Amino acid sequence: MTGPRRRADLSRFRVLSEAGARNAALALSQILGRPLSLDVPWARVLPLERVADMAGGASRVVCALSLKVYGEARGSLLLLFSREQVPVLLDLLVPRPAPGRNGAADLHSLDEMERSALMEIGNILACAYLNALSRLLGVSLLPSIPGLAVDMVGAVTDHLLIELAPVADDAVVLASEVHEPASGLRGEIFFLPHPDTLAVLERPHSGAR
Amino acid sequence: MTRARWLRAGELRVSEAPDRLAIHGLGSCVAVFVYDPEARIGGLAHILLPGPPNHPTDRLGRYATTAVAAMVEESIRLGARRSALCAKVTGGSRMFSSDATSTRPTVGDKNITAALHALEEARIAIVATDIGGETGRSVVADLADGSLTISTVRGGPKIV
Repeated sequence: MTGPRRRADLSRFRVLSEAGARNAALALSQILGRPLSLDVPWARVLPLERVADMAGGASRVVCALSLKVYGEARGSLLLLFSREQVPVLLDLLVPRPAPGRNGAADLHSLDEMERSALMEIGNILACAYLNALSRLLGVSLLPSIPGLAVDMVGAVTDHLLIELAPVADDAVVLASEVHEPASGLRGEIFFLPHPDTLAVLERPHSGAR
Repeated sequence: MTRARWLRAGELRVSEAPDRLAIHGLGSCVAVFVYDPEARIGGLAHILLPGPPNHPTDRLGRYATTAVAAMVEESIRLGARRSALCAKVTGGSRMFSSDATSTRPTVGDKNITAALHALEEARIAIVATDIGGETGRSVVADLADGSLTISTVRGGPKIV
């Protein structure tokens, strides 16, 4: 990829970002039985070395679900929750008797059930997100099984840079955020399309809303 | 103690005491610290990939082979002695549950192999390594004493 994407492309990507996140928010609100809202989605071109900044900087600790996207457009999906929000999310998904969960989780403090609940959430959000894009673009997009980590943003995003670095100096990032007002739960969704398949995403949007 | 200079992914920096060079959130990437303990001169690189593409690149810090060569050259230019240079290597984790169980070499594994190989080729003694595993690392390289301080989300700092 050479030079920054044109403004028109980015506004198209923003529409995709919004549609994907809206569908993901809908799916999550059905699972949690609570309404979710969607924050302003954006699409930007970032130099690779700045990708960690998109998610609050390299040292912020998050719960990350990472998926590869296969099909007629390739890319990577990254879903993030602040580490402090892991107990909030888990309490909504797999409630535990009082006193419940405490403090900030790390991967090793999560039991098998909790890990699989988080991975299931990753899977559902990713499928919902990609379904919306598939509908708009008229292409088939499939997610891999999610990988789970609780770690620093730098550490959970560097595989994205590693993948892009041989072919690009910039990353196109589609970002959006969903939140559940009552619990304050907030999840961030990032889609980084592979440069080879940007043309697929730039096609005129055809599908129904 | 001087404030650490932070390196982003793909960057390298060479400096001298009392500077400290640091990387936040190293995952599958690899950090190579090359220094001369007597001259107290050296560099740190935040490496993304084993080797450069076929076309020429000025992003020397991104690749294990070019990063090692550039740090050696620049350290010598600043007054380090080639024969005194030694190295510490860290990073190369398998960050996600899906990688952790893979039997095939991950990109982290390949980065480690390439970094160690590049140092051997350059005949630089590797005096410490803290590589692999399943957690991210933050590292601070201190040119005053040649220490490399490594911390993770799971535990307090470890000095190598």
